[in-house]
Amino acid sequence: MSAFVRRLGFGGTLCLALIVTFALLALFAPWLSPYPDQGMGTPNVIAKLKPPAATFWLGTDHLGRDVLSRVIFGARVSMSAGLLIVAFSLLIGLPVGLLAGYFGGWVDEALMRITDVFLAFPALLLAVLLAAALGPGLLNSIVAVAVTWWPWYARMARAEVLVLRGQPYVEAASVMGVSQARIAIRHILPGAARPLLVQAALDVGPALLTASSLSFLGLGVLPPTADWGKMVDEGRKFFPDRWWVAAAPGVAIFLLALAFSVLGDALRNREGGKRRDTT
Amino acid sequence: MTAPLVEVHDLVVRYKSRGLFAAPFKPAVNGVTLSLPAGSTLGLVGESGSGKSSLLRALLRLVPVESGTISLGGEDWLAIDGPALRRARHSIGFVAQNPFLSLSPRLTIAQILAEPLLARGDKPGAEMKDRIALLLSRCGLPANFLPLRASELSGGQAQRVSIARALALSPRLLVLDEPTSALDVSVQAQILNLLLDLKADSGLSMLFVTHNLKVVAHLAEQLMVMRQGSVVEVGATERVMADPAQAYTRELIGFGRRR
Repeated sequence: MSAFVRRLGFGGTLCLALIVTFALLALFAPWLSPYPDQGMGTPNVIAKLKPPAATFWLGTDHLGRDVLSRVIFGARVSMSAGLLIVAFSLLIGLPVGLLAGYFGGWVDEALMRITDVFLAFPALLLAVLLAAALGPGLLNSIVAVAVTWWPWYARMARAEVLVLRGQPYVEAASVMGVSQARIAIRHILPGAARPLLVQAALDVGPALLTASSLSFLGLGVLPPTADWGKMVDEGRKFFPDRWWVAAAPGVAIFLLALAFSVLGDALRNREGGKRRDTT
Repeated sequence: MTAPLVEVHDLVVRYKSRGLFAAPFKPAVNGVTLSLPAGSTLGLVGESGSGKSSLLRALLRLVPVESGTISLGGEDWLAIDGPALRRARHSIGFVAQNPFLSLSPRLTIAQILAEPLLARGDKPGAEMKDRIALLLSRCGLPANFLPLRASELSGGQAQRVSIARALALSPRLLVLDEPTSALDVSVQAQILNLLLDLKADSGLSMLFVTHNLKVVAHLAEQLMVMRQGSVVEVGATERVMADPAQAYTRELIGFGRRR
């Protein structure tokens, strides 16, 4: 355990703990939140816009729902949105970059020009456009953001592959008569994937922010499902007099995005250290 | 005299220059002819930029050839392509200069040694494991090295693994690109002795590229000295070492002594 802390650093470990906490809260939301039915959306109008107190730790919103329960349930949507956006983007970007970098020539040109088309649009604008076209809903907003996200991974993967392709051990494999597909998957992919995974960890935060932005704009999940971006939007109307409605989900977004960023940094530093050891 | 295993005739290798109007590069290998009888060793010597590595890379089909012919065991080596080339590559083993760069950093020694066997289409299993352990022991390393990674080995040990990998498919020709120059002197001697043993055991043909004449003189029956893409001297090792015809060869011998 202490070796683990040393490898990630104090900040990294703390952030990992925070992320695990949020993940556990999200996973066990129905059992951990004080008012699970309100967390899922049942209104409770007799207690609307109550300030934080012993009965409602983070106060209640305009429909009288416990903000803490809503934040806990919102973690389900926001975390899965952040992780799925990054996962989808990796799923598209990594193979595209691998193919482009490994085969080069016209394959590279074709794939990279397609990538450039996506990079030419401002990311959030394209995401908003797509989300509007696809209609609201969690999956649609995830797809909309992932479509603007994958080109970065494709570019990164390609750059990594270009470096690795010239490595003597890759050359040695091809001299041994190893097939191209096997060289790409067995000898190049593991080396290229690691920095990409670190980048992916760094990107969960921004992905989560973008997903929250979409739902803030009304393009995310449909009510009454709790979502942090949507909650900030709802709380905006009561800000600053009844600040807790917007502040609680806002702080949650901030903490989780920060935690993923710091954890990603910690992973990257570790990666850098490891590289120096081996070469 | 046995039939030559490798015959290179008038080989020219030229790297492509970038840009439409850029002047073409001078050929890296300029009209080299050589022949390597089966079971013998040819030492290819020259300073950096002499074209020895380009010649070797052309022989390994890593760089395109501009003109000339290479035949391997009587077949036109440059005409083979695609999947046939992949199979044909099994008859050449290659040992690179720096073992830490030429062994995959993320694979274990066992996985590294399995790779050529799998490429040939062998089935993984106990039989393959035995074969890998045997390969490793032939190169002087016990089987407890198998689960390690290249970064955990010393330079000499890693180069032994690299030689074991090159020998995995019982190739007809072993191509060595400065296999000892990344190692310190005592380890160099061990690796050279290993190669001598392997040669005595299995009658392996070798093409040994180096800038250090002294290293290769141990091993090679024939020496070929290259400078700026061309062969300046070729002959039996004793003759070249005792009575070099070219001033350049004398320089190289002197360089070997000084070290």
